[in-house]
Amino acid sequence: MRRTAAAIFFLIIASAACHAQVSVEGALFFDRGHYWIELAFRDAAGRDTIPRAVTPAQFEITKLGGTAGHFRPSKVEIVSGERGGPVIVLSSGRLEGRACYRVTYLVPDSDPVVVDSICDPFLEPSAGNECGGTAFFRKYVAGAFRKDGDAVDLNQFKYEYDFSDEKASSSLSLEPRYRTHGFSFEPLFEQSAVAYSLAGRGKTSTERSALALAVSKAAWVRDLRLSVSTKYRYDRSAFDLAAGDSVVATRSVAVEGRVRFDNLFDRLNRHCLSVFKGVDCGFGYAWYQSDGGGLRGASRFNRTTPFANLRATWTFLDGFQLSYSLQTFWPASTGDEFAGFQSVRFRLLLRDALPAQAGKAYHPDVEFAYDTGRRLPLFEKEEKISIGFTFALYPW
Amino acid sequence: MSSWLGNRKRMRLDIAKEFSARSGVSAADFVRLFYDPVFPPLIGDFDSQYISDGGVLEEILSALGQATGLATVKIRSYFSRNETFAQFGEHLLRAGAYTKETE
Repeated sequence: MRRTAAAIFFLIIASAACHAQVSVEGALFFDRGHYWIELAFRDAAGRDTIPRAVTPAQFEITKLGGTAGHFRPSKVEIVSGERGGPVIVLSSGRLEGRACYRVTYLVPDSDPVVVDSICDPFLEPSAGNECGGTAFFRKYVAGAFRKDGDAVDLNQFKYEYDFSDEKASSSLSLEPRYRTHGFSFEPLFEQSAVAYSLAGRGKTSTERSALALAVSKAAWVRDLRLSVSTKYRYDRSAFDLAAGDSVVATRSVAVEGRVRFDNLFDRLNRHCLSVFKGVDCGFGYAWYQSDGGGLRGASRFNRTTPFANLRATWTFLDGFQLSYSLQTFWPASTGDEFAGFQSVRFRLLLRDALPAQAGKAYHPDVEFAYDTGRRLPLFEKEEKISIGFTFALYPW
Repeated sequence: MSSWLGNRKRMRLDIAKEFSARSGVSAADFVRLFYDPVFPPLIGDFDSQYISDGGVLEEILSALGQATGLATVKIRSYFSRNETFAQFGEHLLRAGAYTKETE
């Protein structure tokens, strides 16, 4: 058996680069919400070694098949293993799953060492012998629901019950993403219903639904991810109130520029302890129009507002995730005030603690949420505290 | 902390050992044909040809559980005929295979 194991071991040839003095082997892996590249160096005698004084400037990472050119890691860590020799872990928010990378190690006064084809095992074949229907589903349907490494805008179904107010609410949010010719298209469907049981006053309910389509284009500029997006959104709210039913419909168009700067936090990220991701801010302008009938729908308006958004997610201690987002608006019409909407999410990531469901389509997380403030499109005062299970789709 | 490269090699060996021992395919052929190609065949292809029945598969998954430190039920939940052995191994690594030994 030992002989068999030794034979298999020597068959390992993938992702290795040879040099007169040193050979390097690499792996792309996913841990704590980020992708990382690990490199193992060996000297001419096959012993584990680490070059002296490695810096980010000595490494160039190129996504194979990509057009964005090479980039440098934002952090280089030397990690000493409990088994085996030390390895080098390269951090960069630009690393993505289902991709292959080439790493070039620039050796002073010598030829560079190139490690080719460091691939994610979940890399999919560009062509194969699968039938047309399977290929279409894999590429366009299933692919749209994967959001590798995303911290926000996850597809989810949620049911909440507020014991104190005898309130039950359910919500469904689907926001698949399709990419073609460098553009991302994100249709959105949201439906939520809230029912209140009021002592002595029967039951009231509110139903909200939204349809939207966003088109965006993103590009890397050095270590920053810049994107521009346009979004059209239609909201419909139906209020079943004791004083009378109301329906309010709102249409809005927003243009937003967004800067994602996860990379600035790469130096703080340690993949077992603390990972920042989805850190970005955006600025934009929105046009919105509202009309409707009944008590709540009587006021009709046609307004504009500039807005600014800030979002960040921090995953810590293996399975805790804290997200914060702040939306701010400056409505242009007379009499309107500055409006802000804050959202805090604290989530227990149970995906690794519980066995995956059949088919691995989703996993439950426990989520505590606090939302407060006023926001588009109605700028009505909102405040909500909830705790419930969120069924988020697996990122892979 | 153990390296991901080291754990990935170890996972490759363990999967090759357990599946080859109960399927009649040599470990070297297993890794050459079903593990190492850039786009290897799916687990379902191997399963339908070389795994005689569900009991054998349960034995394999149980043995993998002992080798990796993961519960068999967890390993079974990641076993999908529509994925490759390399992807199956990566799922197990992401689920914490071998981590108990180093804690």
